[in-house]
Amino acid sequence: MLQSTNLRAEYGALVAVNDVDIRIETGEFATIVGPSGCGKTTLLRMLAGHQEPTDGRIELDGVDITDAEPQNRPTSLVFQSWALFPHMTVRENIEFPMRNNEVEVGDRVEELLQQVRLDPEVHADKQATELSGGQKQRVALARSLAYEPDILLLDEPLASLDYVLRKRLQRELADLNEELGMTFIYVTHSLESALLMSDKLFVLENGNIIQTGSPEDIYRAPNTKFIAEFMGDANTFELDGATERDGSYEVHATTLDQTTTVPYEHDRDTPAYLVVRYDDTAVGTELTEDLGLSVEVENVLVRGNTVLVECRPPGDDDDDDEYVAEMPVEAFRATGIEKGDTAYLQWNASKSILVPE
Amino acid sequence: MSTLQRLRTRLDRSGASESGLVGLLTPPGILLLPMSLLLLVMFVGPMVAIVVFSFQTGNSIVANPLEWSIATYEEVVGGMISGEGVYGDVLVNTVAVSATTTALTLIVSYPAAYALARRIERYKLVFLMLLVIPLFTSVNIRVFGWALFLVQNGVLDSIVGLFGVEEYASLMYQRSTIILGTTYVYLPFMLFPIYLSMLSIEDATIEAAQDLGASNYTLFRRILLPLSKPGIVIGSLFVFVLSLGANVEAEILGGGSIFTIASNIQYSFGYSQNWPLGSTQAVGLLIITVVSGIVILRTIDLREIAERGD
Repeated sequence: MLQSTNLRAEYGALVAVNDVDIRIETGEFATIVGPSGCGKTTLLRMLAGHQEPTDGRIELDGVDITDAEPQNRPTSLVFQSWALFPHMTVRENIEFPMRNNEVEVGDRVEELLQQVRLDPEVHADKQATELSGGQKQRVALARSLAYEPDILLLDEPLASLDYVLRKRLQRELADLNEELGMTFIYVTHSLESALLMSDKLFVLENGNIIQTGSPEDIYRAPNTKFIAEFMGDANTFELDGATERDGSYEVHATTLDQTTTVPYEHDRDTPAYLVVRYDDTAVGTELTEDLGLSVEVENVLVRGNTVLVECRPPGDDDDDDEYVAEMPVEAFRATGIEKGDTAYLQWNASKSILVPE
Repeated sequence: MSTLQRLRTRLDRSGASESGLVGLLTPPGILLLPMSLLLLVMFVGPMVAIVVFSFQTGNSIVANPLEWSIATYEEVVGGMISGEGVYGDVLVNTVAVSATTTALTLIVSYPAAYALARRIERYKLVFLMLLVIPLFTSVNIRVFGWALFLVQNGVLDSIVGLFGVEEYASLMYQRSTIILGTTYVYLPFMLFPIYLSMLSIEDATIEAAQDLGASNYTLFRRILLPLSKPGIVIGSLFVFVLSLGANVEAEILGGGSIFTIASNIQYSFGYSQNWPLGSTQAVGLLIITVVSGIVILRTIDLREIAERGD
């Protein structure tokens, strides 16, 4: 188990990581997710030993490793730029950590390459510079796994790969985590990576962990408006009033035409926003769902088999009041609505998510 | 004519002019023309003249018919083999000065380049400026400065005199004094290539090595040294070749007692007015320079360095 207590990093007056407590169980796939500049890379570098914390402690299975040199930590970092040694072959790159840690080489290079789905016969003796981006990524992974560290740290290593390759490697990473039983800590700004691979998510904003939990939990009950919007494209309505009633809240918003009742967890602050995801909403000529508002359709964008319908309340020019419904193309065509028409943006009230300030 | 036809004729025409000498006169070949002319006049011409003179017997060329003589070669090469005359000593002096200078500048520069490129943030610019500014001053002035410092009854004498030291062996006019001068003068030519190659090593590469359990020795031996090797090689080439031709340092700091090929060439052309002898030695220096350049450059794969930049 990896645990940090009051972990803090300051650059002059800037607090990059603010007294962070995290706890990651052995074998877990944990993801630290947040926008650029939220302190996630600094946090990871402190765990790897490449950056000295201003304050706080890092413990691994009860042993204090806060001041241990990177050489002496059972952690291995996969860099964003992969950082393969350019003057070495693939084999030499992978043997490097094995020799440093006195691990028997034997057939390990071939095994590792197979583990990361590279053909040893084709790639083992290539120069590191001869590889494509995806191959470099795989070699970097094999090299980090080579001396069997307890914890694999990954600093957005998939960010610069194309979409299809990224998707495939995400799945492979999740499989590898399961196969090896090794703890993986992944840092990313990309929500799709976070949701797809992780057992546990830490959402970081301005150096603070603002929510911890499984991806489902955070998706279902985001702690803040920021997380709700970060977890997926969503429409947000500011609430004017919220009255508690048996584990639910009756909420009212001037922008919405109705009052509704939405379930809400008790241990959080009073709800301030109602959030509904694009793909849970639809437009129609009649108000048929139990929650909605009258809007004017401003734009219709076809995205594969769904359309994005951009709309806003008639006569309202406020940028914050632009809403989007994502619905299947056929369903949208069936409504006969076109750009410029007046319609109802609506959704099933149970799809509403309440979030505190 | 339609646009497409015009395009086609233009393409046909440019395709034809690509080949042969005409290609040199179209961009981008024409961009190299001024430099090519300069090299032809300033480098190739004089070199040919030197080679021709080395096969003459006097300070003029008899053109019709052109006469050839290998007398000076017999004198120089024969002298080296038999050990008569100064030529053997001159060769030993020259190579010793160059090799020692190269080794000394490397030993001094490597740690400094590492520190400047990777460790020091404050005062880094000051250090670099201190290294560059001497290059703006004439070598003559700097070497005369050294002479004033070391010469008998000079600055050094006055300083040690303050501590009661009255008599000691003169530091001037020795091979080691020449080496001191060349080491000082050519230090930046070693330091900057190594500094640049150190700069081009990514931080992540070094961090990755540490992360993968490399000790400081392994980090140096397997990562820093091979990745900075191009800088070491280029720097060594600069310093070795420049020291081979070091004339001022040998002249002033070596006085009249230690000769190198460069100072001997000047002596032959100047004082003794023996152009064929000077030319022969110049050809010899050129051969040594080219051979040592090839040997040094063969230790690195230039293509590999070019590919590494991606």
